[in-house]
Amino acid sequence: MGSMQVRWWFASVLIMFSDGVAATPPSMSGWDYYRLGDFSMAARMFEREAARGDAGALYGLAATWHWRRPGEDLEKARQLYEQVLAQAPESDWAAWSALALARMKATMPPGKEPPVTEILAAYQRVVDRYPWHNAGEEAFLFIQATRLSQVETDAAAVVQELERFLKERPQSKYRSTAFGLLAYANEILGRPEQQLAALLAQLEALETDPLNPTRDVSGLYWQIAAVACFEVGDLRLAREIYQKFIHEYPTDSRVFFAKQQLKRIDELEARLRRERLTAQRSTQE
Amino acid sequence: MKVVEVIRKYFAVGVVMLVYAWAAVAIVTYRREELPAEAKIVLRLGHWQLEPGVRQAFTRMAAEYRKIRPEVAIIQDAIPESVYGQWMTTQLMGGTAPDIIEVGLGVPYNVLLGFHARYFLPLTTYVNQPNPYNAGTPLADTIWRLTYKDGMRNSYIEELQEYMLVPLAQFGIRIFYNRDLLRRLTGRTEPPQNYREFLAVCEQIKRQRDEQGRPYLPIAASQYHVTMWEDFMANPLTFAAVRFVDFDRDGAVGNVELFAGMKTGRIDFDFPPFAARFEMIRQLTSHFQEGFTGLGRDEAVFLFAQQRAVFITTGTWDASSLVEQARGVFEVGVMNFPLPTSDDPDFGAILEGPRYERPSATFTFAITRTTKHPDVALDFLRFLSSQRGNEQLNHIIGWIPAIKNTTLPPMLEAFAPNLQGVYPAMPITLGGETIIRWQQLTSLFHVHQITYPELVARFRPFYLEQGVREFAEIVRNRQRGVARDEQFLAGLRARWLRAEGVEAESLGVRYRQLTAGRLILRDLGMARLQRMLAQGPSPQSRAPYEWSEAALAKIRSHVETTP
Repeated sequence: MGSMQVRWWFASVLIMFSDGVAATPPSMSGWDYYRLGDFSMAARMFEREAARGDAGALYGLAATWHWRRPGEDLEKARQLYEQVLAQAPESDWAAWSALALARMKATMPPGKEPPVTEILAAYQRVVDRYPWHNAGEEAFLFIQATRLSQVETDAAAVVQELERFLKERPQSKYRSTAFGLLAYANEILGRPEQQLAALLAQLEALETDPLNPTRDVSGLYWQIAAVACFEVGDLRLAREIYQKFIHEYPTDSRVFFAKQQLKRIDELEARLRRERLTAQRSTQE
Repeated sequence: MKVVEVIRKYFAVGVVMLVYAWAAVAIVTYRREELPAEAKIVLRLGHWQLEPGVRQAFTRMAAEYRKIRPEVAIIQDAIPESVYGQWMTTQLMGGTAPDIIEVGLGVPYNVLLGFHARYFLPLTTYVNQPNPYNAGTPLADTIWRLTYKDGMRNSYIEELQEYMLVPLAQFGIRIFYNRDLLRRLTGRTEPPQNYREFLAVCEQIKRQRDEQGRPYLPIAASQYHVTMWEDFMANPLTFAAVRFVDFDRDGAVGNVELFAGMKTGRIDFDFPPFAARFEMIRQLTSHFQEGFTGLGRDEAVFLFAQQRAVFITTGTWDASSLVEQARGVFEVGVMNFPLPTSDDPDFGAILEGPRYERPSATFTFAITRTTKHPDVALDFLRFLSSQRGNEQLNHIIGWIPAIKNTTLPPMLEAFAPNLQGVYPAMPITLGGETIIRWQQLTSLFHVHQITYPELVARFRPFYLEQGVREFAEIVRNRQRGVARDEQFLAGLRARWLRAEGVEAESLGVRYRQLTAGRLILRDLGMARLQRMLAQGPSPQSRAPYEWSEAALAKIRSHVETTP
């Protein structure tokens, strides 16, 4: 056994015998234990609370059996999610339970996954039942992402669906993600102008965390600049975004590359201007 | 008779108890002696840094701190690396951990995550406030995390959505050399400034012999060191591949992107930057000692310390011990990796710039939940990571400060990270089989048993065939990995739904952004590559950073209509 394995074993054994260990705050809830990865304690706490008819605790218990690794019990989780749906169908927990049931189908282990049509149908049931809930909107976006991740994809239909969603839901908090999917669908369709518009809208619609307002949009900047530059030919925008990238992320690994791109843009413009002058001169002669 | 029997029966237990009592008394007495008389608050600080300088640095910084807060005493628990994981685990679980503890060694990441959540205090609130010990400096109004050169990137634990660690230093890798030996063997008082000069110096060194008739070694190397030479000198040559196979346009090349590029004929092993990488490795390894691949780190350091070799590469963590070993015998110098010049016959046209080095602060400490003085522990860490404090701490140890606007110890000036440059773009292996085959063949290449064309001839067919299976396995592994993300996001969602006010708003934003990135948009990049592979070879395809016809037409038209 390697020394790493010995350390792993040692740590695991200590953790195994450390239920309710010292230094654990006394008033922990089922979700606290869940987040610590102590699923046995989480299940115990949720069971106790669920016995008092708490739908949230029942959902917690279902999630624990759904996502604990190892030791998951998907059948038990499915029954518990359905119990939440039956017990409190209008609650938040019911909407998330419906989505969890669809995700259960979509995340089956490799080799056991059902046909895509079945997965899409499961998501659609969530959309139909909770169309204006966060869970319903997530299910809608999972449908579009699943369709776009197939090798044979009907990207045009996805574009229609996404555009309808964005038009009907100007207040949705998932607009940025929807624009991201729209950009990808337009990339597949070879429509760079629309792809660029969607990427810009994705940036615009990004939410800001009130407790941590600095957000990393370097990846999105990079994509926008590349599409503006090489697909759309909007060098003004490409220049602007590459410069923003360099200014806002001065220690990013791609700063040198961004400077190279700016130089290439300058060189291309200079070459085209020289060609134009040469052409004008030869016309005058 | 009875007494003798009792003694016999309990002798072993008695001895154990006596030894235990003696040890307990000794520890208590020793600890008391360490404490200054006026100390009312005792902070324990646990770490694994036994190299010269670190313990002295903490002792001196503690003395400095006592000038501000005389009531606080700091005691160090310096634990050897080999048992650090076990020690930390038992201390945390037993509720006897030090107030401040170094984190990052000896425990697997998934276990460490549990430790973070269970035993350490979140620091998010504090890292978003200015560090009071920066008062009077240009960083006075800057929030603590932004006073770091790397923005405290490694302190944020994404699974917990919290900043948990306080880093105190940065590390870097450079070439160390024996100044005296270099002068004696080559007449040079300064190290070589570029790659060709470096090779010429190596040749000159190799031709000379010591008193025992043994040839001098230009470079002391081992299996441990060869990756550093590759990383800093040869791998940056491959950067140009990013323009050909960065299909998702994120500015980097992933192993699946490179495979898709190779499989569809968009790039191949004869791509000049790839061939150049191997040519440089061949040239460099010809100046390593024979059999370096079978040697460990210490053996190479021994050759350097024994003055058998002139150059060795290693990191700042070894700087003090190398200087210590050489003290009174020879002078140690530090130089940057010598780059090819733009007119270099082999690499001038290939290397586009120096290597990029990500600023990354490590030597990280957490505050344990069991501390009786969390405010004092936090205050001491703020003191150590202030502009002045961090500079002083690292000057004593001989490491690189993690805080902005600090100066480096003179010897480490060559370690200042290069923040603008190229990076490697040849991640060739995909999974188990290709990794093994690649390692076998590159080992043969390192010892000059095969050439690059021979390596390619033996690896390429295997890679293109086996790669298909390993690509599919990567797709399946990504699918298997969803459970971990779902587990985490279910916990975050519950936290969001149970929170109120601005905290709920913040958690909601974080939940939606992570759900989008980790789940909803997760498979789109792989799907793009799968579509490319399904379409088959396409060697003439336009590269990701090449202008489309339509874009060029638009740019031309714009140039024609504007002055």
